[in-house]
Amino acid sequence: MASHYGKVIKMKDGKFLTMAIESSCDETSVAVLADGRTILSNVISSQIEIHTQFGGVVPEIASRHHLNNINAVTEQALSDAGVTMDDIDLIGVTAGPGLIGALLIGVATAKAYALAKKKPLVGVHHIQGHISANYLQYPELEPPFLALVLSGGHTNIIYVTDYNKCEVLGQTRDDAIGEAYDKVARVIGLGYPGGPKIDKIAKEGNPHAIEFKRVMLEKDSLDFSFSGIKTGVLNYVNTERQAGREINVADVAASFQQAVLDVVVTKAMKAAADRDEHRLVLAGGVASNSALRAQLAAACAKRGIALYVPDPVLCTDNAAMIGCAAYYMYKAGEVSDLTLDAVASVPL
Amino acid sequence: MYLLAIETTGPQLSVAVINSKCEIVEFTGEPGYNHLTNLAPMIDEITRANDLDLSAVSAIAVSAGPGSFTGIRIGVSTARALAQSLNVKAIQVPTLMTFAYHVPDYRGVICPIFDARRSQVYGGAFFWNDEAGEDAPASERIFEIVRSNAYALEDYLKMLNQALKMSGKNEFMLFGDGVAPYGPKVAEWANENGYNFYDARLLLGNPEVNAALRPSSNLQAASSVARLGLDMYKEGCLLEYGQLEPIYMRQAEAERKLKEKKEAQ
Repeated sequence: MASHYGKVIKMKDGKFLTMAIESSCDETSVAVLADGRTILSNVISSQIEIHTQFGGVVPEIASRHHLNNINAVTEQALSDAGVTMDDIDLIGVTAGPGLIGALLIGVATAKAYALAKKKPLVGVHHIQGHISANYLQYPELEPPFLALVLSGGHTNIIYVTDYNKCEVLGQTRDDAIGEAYDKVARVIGLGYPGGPKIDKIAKEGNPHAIEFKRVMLEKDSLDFSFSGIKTGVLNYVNTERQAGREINVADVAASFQQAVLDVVVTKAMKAAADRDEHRLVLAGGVASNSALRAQLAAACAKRGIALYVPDPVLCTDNAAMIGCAAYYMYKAGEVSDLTLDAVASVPL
Repeated sequence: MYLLAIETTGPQLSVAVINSKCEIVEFTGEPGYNHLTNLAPMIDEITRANDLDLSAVSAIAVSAGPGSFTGIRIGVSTARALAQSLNVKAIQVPTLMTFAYHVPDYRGVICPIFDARRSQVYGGAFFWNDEAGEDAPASERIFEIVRSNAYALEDYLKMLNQALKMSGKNEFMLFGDGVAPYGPKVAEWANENGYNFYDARLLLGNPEVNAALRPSSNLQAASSVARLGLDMYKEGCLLEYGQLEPIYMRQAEAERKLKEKKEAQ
């Protein structure tokens, strides 16, 4: 028997098995891990096509689809891993942050499994999950290191001191980076999802055609602000349209992206210098962005910083990363009880 | 044999267990919307307190809606996951019909209405059919004379008027969280049309009221979900966990708007 990962399926075989559930936004995902770092299965059911017609994720519709999908996704994850629910030693679930209606499907389901099968339960912070994706990609990776978490809901520079300990060095004060991509994509008529669409068309544009303002905030700050650049793009587009000039979508996309990436790369390098840290891991859906990967890699190479970038499947919202985080939390004695709640917003 | 019943569609969370002799235990939470936090612990408590092993449950009955979308999803996703992991069937209990079991000896019409916002109610109307025997299936013992759905109040009352006339009934009892906002209008309408009208809230636990008129609750309650669930269980109305669907009775707002937009084009 072969799994989706092309390896021979490992039956329980003395391994510690974690089953994890992720449903914080528009992906319903369930994974099974062996000993916290080996993926036996990682099934992801994406709703992106459903939400595209609405121009973004609609929470009520996301919640309805999570409910419809989650049990079959679980069944698939167990069967791909070649195990049954009885074999599972630990259940991990994203408890927040995210869309509350979406999260609660995962949390209610995980709690019911834990109750029915008398299994320990761990509620996981979604960002902790994204960071942990790197442990799955890089078996030798251990804390401490610096993490850059970039997604539709998050923009953080984090100093990871241990598997369960970290310090947030910087975060966005308004829009998340992925949110800025989505909004700008809408303004220039590219539609949803903005990230991959801008990334693609930007390759054909001139990144210095329009010099959008790089918002660096206070001199020593590692925080971000992306609402200004969205307004900048909107103003530019309106001015051009009023003057009867046609905008070059590729140039606007490339220039916007360059302005954002200049800020991100500068701040990431500053954080590395501040902490004298030579390892940087990338996490979150925006980590799949090709321009970001290239520019960050170049900047890191210049400074002798090792850059860790998970495969796109581990950058997107997925349950394997949640399972890894849950495993290390459990090992550290952090267990949730059946009162575990879903929370829309929660500090790391 | 026992069933677990879950009720999360309204403002008050409750769970119940019922055996084949129709003996019931019900646990009810404090009023307030914290169903996700409390549901799993309450299931754990009710089974432990009654020396029941959850793995020995025969089926999971869940109040599937209508009601709060979030509440419905907490109940249904919990029921699906329990049925899946315990390898038992699920019972999709229609929430409005459970109110008939609040007043099993009442022979007037039972009218649950929930506040559905946007000037609508989720409503239905039911009565107990005297001619059906105790052992007849629920579908023959309870007549649904106004189809459960989302209605503007005026439309609901129009349907109720026809149904009352057709069935030769002249009194009804009103239940649900729709009574607070819409009760006065319904009372006025009942007066104008010469119907006797009872507000379930005023009859609760009132010792001066005839026992047949005394409801067990004026809101959703798991004990009634359990009773209807048991009747459905006996009738064989059993689903695989994957077939257990919520009964929303309304599209998502964004879907409705998209449809309107497409139709306008």
